[in-house]
Amino acid sequence: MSLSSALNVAQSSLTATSTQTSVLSRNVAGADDPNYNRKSGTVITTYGGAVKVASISRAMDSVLFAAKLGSTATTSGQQAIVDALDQLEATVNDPELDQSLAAKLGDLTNALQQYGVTPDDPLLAQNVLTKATELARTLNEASETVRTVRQQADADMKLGVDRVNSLLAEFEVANQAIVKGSQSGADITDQLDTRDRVLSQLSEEMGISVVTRPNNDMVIYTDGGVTLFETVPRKVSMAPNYALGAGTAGNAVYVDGVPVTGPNAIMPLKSGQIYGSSIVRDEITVTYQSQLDEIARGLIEVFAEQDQSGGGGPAQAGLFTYGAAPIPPAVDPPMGVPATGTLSNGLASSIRINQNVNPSTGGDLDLLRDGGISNPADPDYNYNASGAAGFPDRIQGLLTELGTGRSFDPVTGSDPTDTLVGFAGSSVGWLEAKRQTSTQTLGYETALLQRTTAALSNVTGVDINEEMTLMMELERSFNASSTLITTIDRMLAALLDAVR
Amino acid sequence: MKTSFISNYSLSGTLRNAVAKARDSLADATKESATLRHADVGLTLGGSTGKTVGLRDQYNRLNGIVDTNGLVSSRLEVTQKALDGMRETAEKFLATLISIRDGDKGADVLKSEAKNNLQAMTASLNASASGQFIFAGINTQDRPVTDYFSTPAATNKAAIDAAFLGHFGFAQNAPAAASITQADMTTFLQTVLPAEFADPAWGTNWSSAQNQNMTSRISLSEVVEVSTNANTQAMRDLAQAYTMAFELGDNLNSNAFRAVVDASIDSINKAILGITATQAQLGSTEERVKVSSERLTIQRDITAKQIKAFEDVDPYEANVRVTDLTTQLDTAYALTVRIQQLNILQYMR
Repeated sequence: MSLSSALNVAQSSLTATSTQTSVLSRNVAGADDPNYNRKSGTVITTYGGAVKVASISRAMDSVLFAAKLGSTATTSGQQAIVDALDQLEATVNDPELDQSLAAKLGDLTNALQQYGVTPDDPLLAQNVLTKATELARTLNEASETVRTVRQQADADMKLGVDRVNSLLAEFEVANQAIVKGSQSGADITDQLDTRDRVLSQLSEEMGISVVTRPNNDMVIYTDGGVTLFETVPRKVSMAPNYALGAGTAGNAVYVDGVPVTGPNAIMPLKSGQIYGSSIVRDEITVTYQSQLDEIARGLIEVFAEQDQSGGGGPAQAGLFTYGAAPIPPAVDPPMGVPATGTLSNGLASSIRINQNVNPSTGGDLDLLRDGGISNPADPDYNYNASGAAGFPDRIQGLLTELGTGRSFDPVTGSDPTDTLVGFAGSSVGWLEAKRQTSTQTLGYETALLQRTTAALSNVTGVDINEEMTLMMELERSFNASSTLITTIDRMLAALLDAVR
Repeated sequence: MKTSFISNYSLSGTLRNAVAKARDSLADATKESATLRHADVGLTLGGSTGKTVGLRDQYNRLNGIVDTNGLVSSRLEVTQKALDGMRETAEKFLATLISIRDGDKGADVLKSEAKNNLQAMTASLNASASGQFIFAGINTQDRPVTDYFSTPAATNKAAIDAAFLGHFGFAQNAPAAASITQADMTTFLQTVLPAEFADPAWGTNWSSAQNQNMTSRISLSEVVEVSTNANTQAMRDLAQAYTMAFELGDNLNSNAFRAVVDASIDSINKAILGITATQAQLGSTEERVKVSSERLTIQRDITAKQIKAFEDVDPYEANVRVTDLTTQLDTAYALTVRIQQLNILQYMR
């Protein structure tokens, strides 16, 4: 052992300490980045007792990371569902405000009740008309809300698909660098951080699982099992539909040519924003729209007018009709009553008040009392043959119809045999039950995600206090090595002095 | 090598999440303790929201029926008052007729009283309540009974005159009237005159009322008739009694006059019985409306209680939650400050 060898060792220590300090400052810099994993230099002893930093390693826990990916996907999927349901809930609002369809229907019933006691009062007839207009408008608006939510879900899916494609492109770059770096033994820890960040972002859009192959090469599958990335990204596509009306099906999302959403999906997605939005677009809004359409159909049915002449003419839509309104003073044409118990798509958006009864469009309010709204010129549909101003039978008949159970299409998922107002109430129950369940699930999922993220961060993240402690250690080591060098220098000087 | 199992990010993240969650809950709890209802009724009740919507609808519906029942009751009351008046007048008239028959009073008294009574009866039958003619059946916008004494002569007056002229060949006030025999007069009173008070003459000359009465829904399922009309037999009898007393009392011989008085007594008796029957029937309807309103009010109050049971929160619990959450937030803020201070940099100078 010679002084020069000691000097060499001390000098190698200085180099190793500097490298470690630089790693340490990288850690401090990344302390607040949720996607930063703590790095550390691996110090080894080489020939002659010298030390060197052989490689930079990265703290990682693949089990926790996979759990975080899964949890992120489930949470963002659930979030999409809850957001949509919250928007749909605007059609119900707080029951106290009486804004729901059931409440508006109750308003109309009460207006009819008052009108039934005094059928000759035009103010009360106007009140019935106002409430009926309000009800038709509420149905139109609710239907519009559902359409907007559905369209939004479709747009979100398209955005999700675009984001997946761009993330996959980014992933490809990072993955290539990693494979190349792994083969050459370079420091790839920053690229690994990038790749994990891309995976985290990807899992927001769709549920994924990953498999690591030799040289850190990574393959991504969707949670349904379709290959999303292997060496190169697979194509993810969806054609947005800008005219998603009631009864129109949205387009499926394809990964690598395989449909992953919708009824034809063989390997369907199970989580992620795209999945959540597809549930909103293909199930929730479709069912809710069908409930609105059935309420509209029930309403037309309740107010339908029967042939009074005994001639057996078909029932005609009365106060509530549907389809495009003619321009006054043209008479509103008679419309048939849609088949009972069968969903008629889009009725909630086209239901309206018959113009023949509305004075502001040249109609006659008295038709509310007498019938014949469907066609004022046809005496067969007039209930009040005597023309008496106090004729109460038609109004009482309507009240009886409103209180009578009728049949609704079972696809609505609500009570198929109930009164109209009962059905409207059960529709509210259906929506709020979904909202409650989804919100509770979102609560659990969010808590789980926070826990998993905290656990992962605890294993892979940076603790500044620890880094600072390490820095003190490195400082001491640096000081000691420097002192050693100075001492060895003095010893060599003393030796050279003695020789001189 | 990693030696500690905590990271800066998770430490601050945990605190941040806790604070955010507590603030959310605090907003809800404050709202609940202020309104004493669930902050988000739909979210809390879930599927049961349909029930509270249904209950609220039922509450409004019951309230609506109780309101309209009030209107129906007041209309029935007006009708009863009018019938009361008519019955009392008829009873007095009956007393007059009897005293005339017994010879205590003269024919001149009869004529003027009959005129007054017929006018009073017309006015009563044409009474209206809140814009509706209450004796018009469902034809509520037309004055039901024609005024017998209007000028020019009304249809009913003209028809009676024509009937008299047709039967006897001269007018009531003609001198020849004194020669009408009792038998002739009885024939006229029994065959010709009643036809003027039966359909179709009644409908064309006297009354535009409809036979169909007003109906009203006095509970969720009960629809009852809540009016009477000017076409009932009692009203026809009453009009007949007054009319014959007014028209035929003038210059008859005593035998024929006696026949008129007897026929008038007969009609007025039937009319009094008929009015009493109508009043009894309307009285029972009034009772039904009253009972129904009472029952509906009880039902409504129960519904209101059920709504409260669904939607309301326990005020004590709401307040305690606000206090708890405030304490929790205080602690969380204090902890944040402390943890920020817990930093090795503080000790590395």
